[in-house]
Amino acid sequence: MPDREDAVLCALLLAVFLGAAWLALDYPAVSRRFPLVVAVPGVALCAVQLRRDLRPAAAGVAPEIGLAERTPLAAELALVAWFVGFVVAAIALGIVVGGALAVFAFLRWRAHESLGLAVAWSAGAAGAVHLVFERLLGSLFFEGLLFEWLRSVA
Amino acid sequence: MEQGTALASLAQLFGSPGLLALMALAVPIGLLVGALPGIGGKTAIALAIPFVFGMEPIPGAVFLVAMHAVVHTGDAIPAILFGIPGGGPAAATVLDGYPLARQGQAGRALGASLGASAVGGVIGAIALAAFLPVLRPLALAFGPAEIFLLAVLGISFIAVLSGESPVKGLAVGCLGLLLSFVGMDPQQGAPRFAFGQLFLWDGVDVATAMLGIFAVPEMIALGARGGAVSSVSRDAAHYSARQLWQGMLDVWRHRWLTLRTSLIGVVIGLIPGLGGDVASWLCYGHAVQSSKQPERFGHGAIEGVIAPETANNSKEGGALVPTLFFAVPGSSGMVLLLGAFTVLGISPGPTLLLEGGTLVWTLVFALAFSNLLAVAVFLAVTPWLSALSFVRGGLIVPIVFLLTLVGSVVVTGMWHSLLVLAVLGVLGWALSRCGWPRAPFAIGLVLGEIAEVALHQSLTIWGPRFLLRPMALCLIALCAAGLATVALRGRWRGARHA
Repeated sequence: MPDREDAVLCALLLAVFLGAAWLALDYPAVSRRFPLVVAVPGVALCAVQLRRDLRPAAAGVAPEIGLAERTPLAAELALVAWFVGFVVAAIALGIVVGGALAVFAFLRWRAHESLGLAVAWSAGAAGAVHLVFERLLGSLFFEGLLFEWLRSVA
Repeated sequence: MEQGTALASLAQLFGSPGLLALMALAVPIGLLVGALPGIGGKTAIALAIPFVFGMEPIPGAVFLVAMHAVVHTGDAIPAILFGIPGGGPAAATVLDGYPLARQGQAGRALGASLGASAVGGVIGAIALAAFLPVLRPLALAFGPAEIFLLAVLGISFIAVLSGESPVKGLAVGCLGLLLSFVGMDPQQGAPRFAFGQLFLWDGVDVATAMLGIFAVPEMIALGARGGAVSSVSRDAAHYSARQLWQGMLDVWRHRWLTLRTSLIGVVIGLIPGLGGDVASWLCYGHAVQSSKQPERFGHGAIEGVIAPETANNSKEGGALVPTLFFAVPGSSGMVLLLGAFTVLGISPGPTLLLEGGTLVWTLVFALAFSNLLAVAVFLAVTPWLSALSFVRGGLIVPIVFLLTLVGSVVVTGMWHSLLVLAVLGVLGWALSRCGWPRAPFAIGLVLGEIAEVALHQSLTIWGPRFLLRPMALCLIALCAAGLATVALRGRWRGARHA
């Protein structure tokens, strides 16, 4: 199974390098020099690695350092989805509001923390971000696409 | 004459309660700013300019230098405890600092980082003082050709950092290089790999990339694994002040590495355009290359914390040289420092070297003393900070996710960077899960643009003959020697396994 995951990643990277090389061909000669110098070896390296990963003998090879400790793919994919959810929430509702809601949701439904702790932790995090970054340091966070849209509609 | 000025400056610094108070204020601010992901030294200076406006030149400059000098001491805290690089230069510290925290040795890693930062900072200040008489020829000897080959030398470390998977490491390094080409082509001004998106014209922000590639995967792994950052219990870790001292003693045990990486950091700082990311990665690569057991790196080798941390702080002394004496800022942080000096009525340039003796020496001592002061502040707070590595992951993960989002948006000022963060976070997770080395990606991303710009400049000025310049030949020899060492070590290891 790990070899299949490796092969999928390797195939994706191969596609990225092939795409980059193909795109670079359209650039002016000077602009495409470096991208091609990098993308072509990238294609070759990924092809070599993909061949290794797909070799039948690879199944018998001892796992590399760290691979033996792998947690189940489904468990990590769930966390990846949570991370993407944080990004979506921040883009839609802004860093402070979206971030606070995402922290609350994670604590309540992923970490199974109590309601009181989830509320306190998320409110504290949002408050700290607002105080430190917006008030103290003067960073201007965007308000979120949803709020922008609502404002434009109103 | 020079000694008299130096002694007078020393007396002025330590005889003035006002200057000491300013440093005592600047150091905790610098540490805090460093510990907050995405803020970093340049933002800190930008935010401090309104506060120093109207101050006398020396107090204002001392405040700014003291604050900026210890930012990289602070950014090791989130790097070690949570695997979040506070800025690009701290990303190299994550590689071994975070595994040490996971092994219950957060105190030792923090102690080593503290000791290394202090030693590096003091050596940087000494170097600044020592270089005063011989500055001009050294700084002028580095042209685009040497910068290109120095970047190539850094890229050659990809092979060193690839460990036992050279093909994977090189492929990931190529991916990092490829990503560094996103944005406007420096030669023709044409957008590359921007897909019609305006926000990609500025390229991929290094801090966002580091957060995505290093911080996000660690939190995904922590969340999926459960438990705390430290995989051993607090009792089993035997955390105490002794662990912190053990880390600081590690710096002494690896004193030659500390000295070498400090000097490398100074030299990198001296060269405009390279910056802290290059210093920390070059020194990390050097630590791996010079180790008798390179396979330990990435799994909690204390030298992997010491090398980048010394370089991060020592390069500040080096970077002040072109900034102060040639008005050539070596990094974006130094650009802001240069601007802040101008606001204070200081005119950086060769005349400062001739006429600004008191100011220059005061800054040298302020640089050294602020690094030592940071030790006291850091020692006071580290026991509390180390305890965070034993807090359960369920509480840490969402906060770190939030901080990565904040860090990315604060650095770029655009929400679009969150899209880049998401893509690179997923990529970083995939690389981490499949055991692909991630350090080569960072080297490629950091050095790609520098190498491309310098190569174009070199070819325009000298044509292919730039490779025959004396210092260029030295750097080519260093690259060849480094790659040969890797090849020989690989063959030796292969023969031993056989």
